[in-house]
Amino acid sequence: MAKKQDAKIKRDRSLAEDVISNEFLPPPPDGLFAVRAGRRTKLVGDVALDNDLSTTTTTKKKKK
Amino acid sequence: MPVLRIQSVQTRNQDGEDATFFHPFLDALALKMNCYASADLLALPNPRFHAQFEIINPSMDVVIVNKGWANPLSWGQYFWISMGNNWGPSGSYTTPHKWGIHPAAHGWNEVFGFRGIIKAYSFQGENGEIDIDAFGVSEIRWFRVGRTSLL
Repeated sequence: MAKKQDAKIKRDRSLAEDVISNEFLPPPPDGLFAVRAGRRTKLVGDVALDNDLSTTTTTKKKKK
Repeated sequence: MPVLRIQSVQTRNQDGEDATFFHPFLDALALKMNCYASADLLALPNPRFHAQFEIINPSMDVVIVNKGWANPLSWGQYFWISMGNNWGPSGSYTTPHKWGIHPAAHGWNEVFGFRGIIKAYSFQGENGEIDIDAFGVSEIRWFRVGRTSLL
């Protein structure tokens, strides 16, 4: 039961964050459809990408 | 090296669900891209993006909707952008019909694909808008529009 409640709180929180980060923006130039944007939480794929970009590999040649 | 990626795309309905089935006249369809921008891209002068929201008809293998939107990159490294009203009021929803993808208009094809494209630019004063070697193309998100003809 407690686990269920935790999951619900987590979900509600993430929805709330989604709403907080919403920004209503002017429509695109063709004026037909509304657009929105906002910050999002970091996902697993982002972490992998961050690590890829920040990793610099240096290879040293072994002396014979 | 500057990086701009689309990590995932979603087709959201009026309940905020990443849905795959839509009523042509009653359901909202908002196309959403979850994006990533590297720190060095955001450090460029006036970083901007241009996004394309494409809808594909697989039976013809053609893009039948291609709507663009340009804006400064102003939401940090991890952000989302969406096109289409799915928050209401219901009369203002961007339905599949409003997107121009009622099956009747496409030889009764009912399955469509959403693909996002995003490109980076840097506005550098007198030099104008400079193209940056940073862009992303998403996977295709397939979804179905019902054949209901009644309003």
